[in-house]
Amino acid sequence: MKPAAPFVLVFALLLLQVARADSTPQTMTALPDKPAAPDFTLKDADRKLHRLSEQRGKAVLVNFWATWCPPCRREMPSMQRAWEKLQGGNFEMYAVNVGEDEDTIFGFTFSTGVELTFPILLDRDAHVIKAWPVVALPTSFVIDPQGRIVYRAVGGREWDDPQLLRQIRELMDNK
Amino acid sequence: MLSRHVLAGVIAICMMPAVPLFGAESVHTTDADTGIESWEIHTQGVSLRLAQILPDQVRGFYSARGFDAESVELLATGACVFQTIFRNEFAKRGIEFNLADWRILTAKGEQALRLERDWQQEWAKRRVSASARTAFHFALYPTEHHYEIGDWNMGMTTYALPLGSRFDLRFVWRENGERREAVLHGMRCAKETAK
Repeated sequence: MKPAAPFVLVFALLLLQVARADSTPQTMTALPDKPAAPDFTLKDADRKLHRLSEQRGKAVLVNFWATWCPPCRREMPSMQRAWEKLQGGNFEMYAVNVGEDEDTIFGFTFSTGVELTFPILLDRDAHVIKAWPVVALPTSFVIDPQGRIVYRAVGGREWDDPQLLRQIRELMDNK
Repeated sequence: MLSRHVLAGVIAICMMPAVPLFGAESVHTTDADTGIESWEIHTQGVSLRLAQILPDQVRGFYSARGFDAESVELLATGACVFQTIFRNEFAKRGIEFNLADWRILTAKGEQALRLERDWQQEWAKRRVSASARTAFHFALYPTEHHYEIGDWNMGMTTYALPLGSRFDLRFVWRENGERREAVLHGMRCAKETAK
């Protein structure tokens, strides 16, 4: 090896460190006590009722969001991609909008350029969110088939990240 | 062949956590189109980014959330407002923070941030609607939170300073009970127009 080679290697490793630092980890935090998910019944934009406890036997992603929240908006397309990969199995996804009306939500979904086909539920008076351990938007929870909160994610995520999909699929397989 | 010293250096680098190089320095940027300034720092496993929010942006946002004109003006010109992103990048034991511990540093001394509870008292006196107050609650950066690795939020922090003021910001968090802090230098409140 030429004399300069070790320094090239060291420099390459330093660059690798920088690249690693730039990549945001896509993680969910496991909740070891697995608290029971507070039940709710909410209407979607088509006024169809959805009850969380009727989804027992499925893994459920519950996401709290608002149209004015930039990270909420940013993660929606990745939620759609995750939905397309997981739907049809033992999986449900609820995007619970906090405090806004149908027109506002429709205006947002139209502007994304992505057709959002998972249920968007309306928590108009913020009644449901107050029963959940949500401090800020967006916050997401993954519910296991037994109706327990097993993962929490504070802030936006890329929901079609392979690691996150793997964690959800493990729950789907564990009916 | 690599010498032992070089090999040791390579191994040491491989073992390092993924810290941005020269990470403890504040980075200041100005958007070429809008003139809006932002400041960012990566340090000790966390990152903090603050970006100016113009008074007109504050007016537009809170008017659309149901605030009356006088209350909107109090927010827009009675404080300076920053879009804030605080993130646990790789602090493995999780971090906790309370904005009540953060301090504005100026030549005149230290002062606390204006927190949500201060504003909510004002909104109660002004009889701002419950829906507007709920929107305000979630639009502001949470006063207290616990972040595991990868957790973060974006929200507004407010500072009881005149528009255009300069200051440093000392931000504080705890990792496994141990207090940590860093300073974001050279902050500047937005003026009525950025350019």
